[in-house]
Amino acid sequence: MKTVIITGVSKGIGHALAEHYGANGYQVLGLSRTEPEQMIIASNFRWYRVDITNEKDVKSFFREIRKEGIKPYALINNAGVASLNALSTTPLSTVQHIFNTNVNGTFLMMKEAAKMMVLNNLGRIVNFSSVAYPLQIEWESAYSASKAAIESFSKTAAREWATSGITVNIVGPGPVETDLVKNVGDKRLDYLLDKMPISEVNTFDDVANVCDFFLIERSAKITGQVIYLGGASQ
Amino acid sequence: MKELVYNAFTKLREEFSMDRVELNADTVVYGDNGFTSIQLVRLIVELEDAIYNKTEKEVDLSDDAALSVKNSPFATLGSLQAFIEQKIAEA
Repeated sequence: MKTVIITGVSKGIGHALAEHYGANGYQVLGLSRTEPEQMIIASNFRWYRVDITNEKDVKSFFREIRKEGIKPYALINNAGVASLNALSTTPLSTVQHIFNTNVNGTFLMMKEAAKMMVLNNLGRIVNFSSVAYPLQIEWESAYSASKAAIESFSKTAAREWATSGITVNIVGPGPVETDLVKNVGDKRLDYLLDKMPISEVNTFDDVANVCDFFLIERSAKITGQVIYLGGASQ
Repeated sequence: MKELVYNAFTKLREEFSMDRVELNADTVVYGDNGFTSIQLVRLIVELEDAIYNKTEKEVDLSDDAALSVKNSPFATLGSLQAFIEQKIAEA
């Protein structure tokens, strides 16, 4: 049974992906700072309390699974935070918080996961961008800048680990039916969707579909790529 | 700490089917006739786990100069041992 590590499983996309891979034959190690809001019913699911921005937390988690002989096949770096604000009224602390979670957290997880994947000469890493980056939407400067950084980290990592059997790819969802999107309001949501070739809210399954593609062994030569949902492009 | 470093180094040289070398402070770890950057990652994992098991301290052996030609802490067994002792002291 292949093992997939998923961050941000307490709710939303991460929670749905944990259920998806749990139901599809993977051993799922789900990480979040707080317990999942709803039980994830799969005997092959295990939850770990990990703050991905805390290096010691991250290293301890990987040491624990290494001790158990678990060899991670895939890492899905879903955990992230967003902010909706004009640049001029965004506090520096918000930018720091967004970069700490989205960029530093993704970096730490990639770094430690790859250390183990290198040993097996096999691995799949999927990082999360957003259509906010290619669309350069106003009021999302800090968020989209963090996603740009994630894309850059991912593409360089794809090169560095190419000879170690590790692929690194990026999924860039548009608005997905999560609490995050519910809170932005209908007017803002319509504004975002109008900028997309396919002006529809994404489902969890849309995201899982792209992750599935990146995770399958046949995708061994797919690396450093970004797939935006809804037809957005740079 | 010397024993821990030398043991990890020897174990991985054997694992990678590399020639046996004399072990002293000047023995090359990373670089010419030493580990590649990918093999270095394997050594870091081995050492971080061994350090934790011995000291229960969580150390991170990444370093800005890790792959430096001139002053990598992974250049020789001597520099590596000094680097680890410093990291443990800081942890």
